[in-house]
Amino acid sequence: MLAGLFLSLSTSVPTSWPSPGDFLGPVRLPRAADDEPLLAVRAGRVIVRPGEEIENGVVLIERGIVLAVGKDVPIPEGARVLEGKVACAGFVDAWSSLGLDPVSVYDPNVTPSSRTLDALDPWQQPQERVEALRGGVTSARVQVGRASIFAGLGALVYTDERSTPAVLLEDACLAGSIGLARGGRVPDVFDRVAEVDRLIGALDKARRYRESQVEFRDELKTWLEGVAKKVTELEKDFKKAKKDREKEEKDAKDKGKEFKEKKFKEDKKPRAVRFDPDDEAIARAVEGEVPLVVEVHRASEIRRLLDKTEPFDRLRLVIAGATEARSFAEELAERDIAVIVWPTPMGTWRADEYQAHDLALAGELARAGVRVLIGSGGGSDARELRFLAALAVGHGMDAADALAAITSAPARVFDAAQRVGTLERGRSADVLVFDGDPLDTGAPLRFVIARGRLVVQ
Amino acid sequence: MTPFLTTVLASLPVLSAACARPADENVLQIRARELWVGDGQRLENALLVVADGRIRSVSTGRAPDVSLPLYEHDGVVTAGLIACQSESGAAGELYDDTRAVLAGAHTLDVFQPEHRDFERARAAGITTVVLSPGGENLVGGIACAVKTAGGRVLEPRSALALSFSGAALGRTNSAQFFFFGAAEDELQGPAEGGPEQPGRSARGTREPTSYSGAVATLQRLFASGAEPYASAERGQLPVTLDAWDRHEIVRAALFAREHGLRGAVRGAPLAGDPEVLSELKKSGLGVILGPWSAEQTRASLESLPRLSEAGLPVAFALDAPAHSPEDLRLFAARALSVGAPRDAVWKALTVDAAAIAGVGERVGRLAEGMQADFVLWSGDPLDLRSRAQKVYVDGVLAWSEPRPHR
Amino acid sequence: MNAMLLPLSLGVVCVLSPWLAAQEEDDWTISADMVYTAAGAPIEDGVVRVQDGKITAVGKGGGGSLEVAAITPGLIDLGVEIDTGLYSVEQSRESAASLSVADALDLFSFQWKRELTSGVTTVLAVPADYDVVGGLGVVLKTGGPATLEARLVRADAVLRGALGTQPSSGNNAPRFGDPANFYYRRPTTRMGVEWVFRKAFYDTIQGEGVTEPAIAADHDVLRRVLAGELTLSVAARATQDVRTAIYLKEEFKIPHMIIDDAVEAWREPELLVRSGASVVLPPFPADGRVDDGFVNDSYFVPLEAARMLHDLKVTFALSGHGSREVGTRLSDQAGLAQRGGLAFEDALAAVTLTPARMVGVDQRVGSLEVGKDADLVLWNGKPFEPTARVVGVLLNGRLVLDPRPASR
Repeated sequence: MLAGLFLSLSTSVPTSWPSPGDFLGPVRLPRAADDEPLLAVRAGRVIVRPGEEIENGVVLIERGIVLAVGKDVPIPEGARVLEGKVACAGFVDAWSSLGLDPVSVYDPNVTPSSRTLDALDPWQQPQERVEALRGGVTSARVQVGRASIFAGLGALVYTDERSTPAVLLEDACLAGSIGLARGGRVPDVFDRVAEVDRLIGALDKARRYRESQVEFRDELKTWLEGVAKKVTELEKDFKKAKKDREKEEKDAKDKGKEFKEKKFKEDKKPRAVRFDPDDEAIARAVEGEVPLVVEVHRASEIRRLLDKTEPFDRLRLVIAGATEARSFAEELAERDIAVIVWPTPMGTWRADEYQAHDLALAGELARAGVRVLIGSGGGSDARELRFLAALAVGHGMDAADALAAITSAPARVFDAAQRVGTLERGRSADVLVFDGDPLDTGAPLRFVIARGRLVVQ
Repeated sequence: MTPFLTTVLASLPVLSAACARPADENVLQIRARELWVGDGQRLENALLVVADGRIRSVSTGRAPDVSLPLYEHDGVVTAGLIACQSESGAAGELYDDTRAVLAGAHTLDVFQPEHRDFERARAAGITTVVLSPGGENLVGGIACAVKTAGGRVLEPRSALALSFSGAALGRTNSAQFFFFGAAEDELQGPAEGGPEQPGRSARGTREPTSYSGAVATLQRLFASGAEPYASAERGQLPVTLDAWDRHEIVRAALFAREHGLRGAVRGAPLAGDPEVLSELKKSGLGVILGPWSAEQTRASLESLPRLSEAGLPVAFALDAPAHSPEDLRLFAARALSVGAPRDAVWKALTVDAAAIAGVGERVGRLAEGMQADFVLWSGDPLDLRSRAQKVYVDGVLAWSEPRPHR
Repeated sequence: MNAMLLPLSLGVVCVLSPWLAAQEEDDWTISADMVYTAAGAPIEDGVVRVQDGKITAVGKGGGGSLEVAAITPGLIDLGVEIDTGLYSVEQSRESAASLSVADALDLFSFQWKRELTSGVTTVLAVPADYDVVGGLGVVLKTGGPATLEARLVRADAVLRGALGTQPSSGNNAPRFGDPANFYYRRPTTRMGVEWVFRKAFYDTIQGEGVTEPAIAADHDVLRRVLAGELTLSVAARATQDVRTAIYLKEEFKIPHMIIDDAVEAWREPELLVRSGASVVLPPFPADGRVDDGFVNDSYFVPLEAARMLHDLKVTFALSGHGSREVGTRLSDQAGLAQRGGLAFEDALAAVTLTPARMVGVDQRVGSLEVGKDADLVLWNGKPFEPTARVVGVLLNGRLVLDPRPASR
């Protein structure tokens, strides 16, 4: 009313603001199918997590979830019992593009706010997913934009797709890459340094963006308070103010002067920060809501990246590739920066100049205390994961670390440890049953249970 | 000191000589937890005695001769692996854009034993490599089988390399380049179904440009009675026939049958297809599968057990250095993952590969009189968790793993 | 001949009726509301019996192990265009008459199965038309074991040539070209293409001592064409190409010529009649227009073209070009030809007996007659109608497409 006379409020206050509880993004629960039988897996060795095993244990599964894991778990009537030598959690491929539309995977124009979720294509090469499942990979972190510096938001998906993409975790990470051959051209050393700086610059900008948003919120609050205070003040002395005004009007008329209306002018309203989707996405990484996975190989770039990301204390950095990361092992361990390696044998003809893949890298980093994850290199050959882990063991990695690298460690790093990666009560029922040690490539994989459904026998 | 060993040492480059044991210790005994003879036998607590570059004896439960050096190995000892179709040390040197027929070419002419590719091969447990062209020439030349250490040539004329693959055919000049109109066959490399190297296809105006032209050219060459075709027809010189699509494999098998050629088809991802398999059986050819990629389809991986079951010798093509020598055991792991029997896979790495390379009497198994090429593994070699710890070629230590970290 | 056959078949069928229930893989008795033999009047409520890969009886009767609405002989496509593309023809020389497409066939291609399940059981395979004279073509079945030995019906059935723009499209003018690149050569135009043809025949006739074995072999083949022992199949789409083909036939007195993919043959009725050449029509395009594909030009063929050729008594066949595009199956072409005024029996003949005769395989295929190969197509309605489709196919007496619902 009077407030309306004096003030000219025209802005709208934002109705929803991301709150800390939203960070993990919506987590989709596995869809329980009513026709799924009760499954029980009995194995001589049940590997709950590498290093924690149950001898002659039983895993009970119902409606896609692990109900119980233990030594003397009673098996209910009507349960289908699967026997094997070793049971462990389904493998999680930390670096993949399985089931994605290939154009998106190599799209050089991917922006930080692009979501891999939008590129999931259930009809894209379904045989690759079948092969991945047969290789024991039940979930994977998939990412578009291998050819861009910023590759957008990746997702965690189940490889066992039924009618719709089975998303384990939307927006599981933000990714980027430095120093890769783009469009067939390997960037020269100056370009590569510039790429690191661009990445850091973007992180910085996002941080300032977030800070401005917080600042704006505070300023707006203060401003609103100020205005409200003034309004109350004015309303309190309403009668007196009215009399004063009439008096002034009369005086002015008497003196022949022009009557000037005294208006209350409020301070300029603080301007909202303009919404920038890219900054928004990168800010989530800066704030630590999602990990930032950066594919980088050369020592000089890793050095620069490590140095420049130090001030970002909430940033959860993960390095993928890491071919020349040996010398930084200590620092990586100290700062709890996980490393995703791709221990595949490589020939000598490659576009990028960095050193040939050393299969011993995974072992060396793990021994230095770095949290090592093993992925299938960002392509769609997830079925190779088991071989890669075995090769890593063959070249010096501890077997428990290697198994962790394809199960519990990726689940942990990408915030999905409540769902996958270990054989524990309440987890998604992704269970593998082997005829020997999981990493013994001579021992066949007998059964694959994906989300409680027996998919491979 | 025997004359043989003198010759061997005299021809060793300085670097390799540094790895060799002193000349007078030419008898070596190795006691291993497990020894694979190569014919399916696994011996526990076995004793391998090597002398003068040959295997003197393989036994189990026998006490070693205490007067001679003994090496105890807590692991598995097997014959060295044999890689068919490789370009180790000769990358880019084994094909020619200007002509389709390179009859006089010998891969032996580009054998560089000191090349780093051979060191990498040794580190992967490979003791013999068949240097052979990829299938980009209709007649690629004569392949040779060489040792990965010591510079020794095991078989200078291992096979005549012929190609029935589309990769050997010249291309058209126009934009019709991208329109193949060929049948869809399963993934086997680049779209044209040939070897996987990019940039090796500057075959713009080379004749022949068609399968029919290729067959006509080959028929003419064989009809001419010239060497090396005459030797091949007499069965004295085996052949390797590059063929990728199923129709190419069948064409190659029919050609071999017509001319009485022996040898193997190379590439052949879908050689296990029943129709193709029956033609291969009639031709008596073996198959050198691969090289396989990570995306290799299940059907092509299953070719190995099917071929084995049908009694055909099967080996793996390594195609180093485009592929890492470690890939050989990775191929084996892939085959095992689709249910191939262990024996068949092991044979593909050793015995059958040797037979196909024409050196089956000399390497591939641990038996008395065979050449002393063997590998000490940390465990089961078909398990990727194992690694080669020591590699011996011709009885001489050729590679030893760098100090282990633990 | 048919008058004798019918009572004989009837007799045979009556005698065999107690055994008509036999259900062996190689032994089928199929009854249909209509049996179109392509060798006489259709048989209502007819039955066809096959055994060991051959037709053993055709006549009236019922009670077969399979019952369908209609049976026709397996369809024959002389313009199926299934080849290995650029690898099917030797382009290092523009005339490669002695090379045969038999050595360049990919029998594992899915395209064969596609033809087979749409009713086409026998085809003529020729080298792709990137050469002026591409080489020899073969007649083969579209199914069976994937070896030429098993599928071949006739080797060296035709010599393939092409006129028009396609054969010259891969060449460049020699003027500024790379001397080592053999694609810098003549022909680069239609004139050049005709020139290559005429030169090939001319040189053959001249018969001078040719030392190069490949060329000598080519000349042998061309001589057989000139002697009438081998049919020349020439692709000629545009009106001027059809004319050129006929002028060549007349100039060199080539006894047997098929003008393939003859889009605009209907525009030269007198020449066609005068020459005695036979014609293979392409699939009828929806708007009548066929784009050249190599130059900016297009050709026109109306649906009436088939009837026009029939009225002129020109021998012609229809073709489907391997069903590359939707709605271009050979069976669809017979329907479209009828829409253009061709009678049903003539449309049937144009996809069965006539093409068989044109490539000299009518002793084995082309009609439902006793002794011929058991290639049958089973329909769920009147053949070639849009409301009917192929529900079953027998090839060499084997059921390759099963009409029975349980088996799907």
